[in-house]
Amino acid sequence: MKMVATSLIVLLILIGVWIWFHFTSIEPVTSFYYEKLAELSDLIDDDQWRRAGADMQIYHDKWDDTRNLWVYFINQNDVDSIDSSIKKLVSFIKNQDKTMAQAEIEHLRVLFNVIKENECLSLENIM
Amino acid sequence: MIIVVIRAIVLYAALMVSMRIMGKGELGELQPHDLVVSLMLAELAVMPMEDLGAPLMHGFIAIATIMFLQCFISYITLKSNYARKFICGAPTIIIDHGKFNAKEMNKLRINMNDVLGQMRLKGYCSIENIDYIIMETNGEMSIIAPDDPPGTKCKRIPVTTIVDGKILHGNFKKYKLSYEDFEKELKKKKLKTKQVLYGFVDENEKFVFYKR
Repeated sequence: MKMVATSLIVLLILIGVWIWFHFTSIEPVTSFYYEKLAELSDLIDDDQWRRAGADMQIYHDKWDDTRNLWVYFINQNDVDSIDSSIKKLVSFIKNQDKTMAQAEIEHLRVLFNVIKENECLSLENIM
Repeated sequence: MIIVVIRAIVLYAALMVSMRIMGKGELGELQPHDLVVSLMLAELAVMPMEDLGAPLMHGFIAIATIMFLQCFISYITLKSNYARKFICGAPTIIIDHGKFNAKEMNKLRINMNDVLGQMRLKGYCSIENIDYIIMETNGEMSIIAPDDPPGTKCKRIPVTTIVDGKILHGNFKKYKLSYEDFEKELKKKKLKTKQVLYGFVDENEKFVFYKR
């Protein structure tokens, strides 16, 4: 009985850490970026480059904090893809390249959405 | 490169801890579920070690899940006869005093060469010298021969009557044992079923009980 209890406690702790990570980081962060990137797309559509640049800097800083936690739970390749996409988007906004910036925003939204979908409990993910 | 070394050390430590929690039974690969666990743990440890992109957390959760399942299954097979029979199976008599149980041999997919090979490995050259060959639940064949003590012949293998305080009613029917005699013997020894860890009837119809 002791070994069953010990193994159950170990498993519950790990699942608990995972649930904490999912609900305090994955859900809010992916939703945040999904919405904010849509707003950023509108700003770029209206040629408000200065405001878009300032907003993007905030999102970039927030991502730097987030990635430090995500690397322990999410596949490193997914984190690297978001890293690279954010760097590209910063550059496109800086150079006021509307077409590329819009394309990169959509790409980034897809990347965040894929992480959210991959981490949620669904039959599709299990299979 | 150094990352692989560190990951290997961390996963080795995690596996060692899980093996210690699961206990010594795991090391001998005694039962089907033990073998499954050994095969799966080896794979689970290698996956995050090789794929540097995968977080160690994935490996830890998988190892912890398998460890819990193994401990839980070991516990229920220890406590319940039905679970033990379902998960581990039951020993099967293949040869009973020169009589082959062909039906069971087919079920177990054992041919005559396997039986003869096992006999030779255990130092027996003729079936004539053997009373019983039993296929154990761990896949080993055990041979009961009338060598010990010399000159005696085992009429019947000891039949288990109680395991862990639970009466095996199926064995009473199967081996046509007297339940009344069994109860009388228990009363005579002032024992209750729950107090008995292991009980059996020997070849001379003598009931033997071992207390907890």
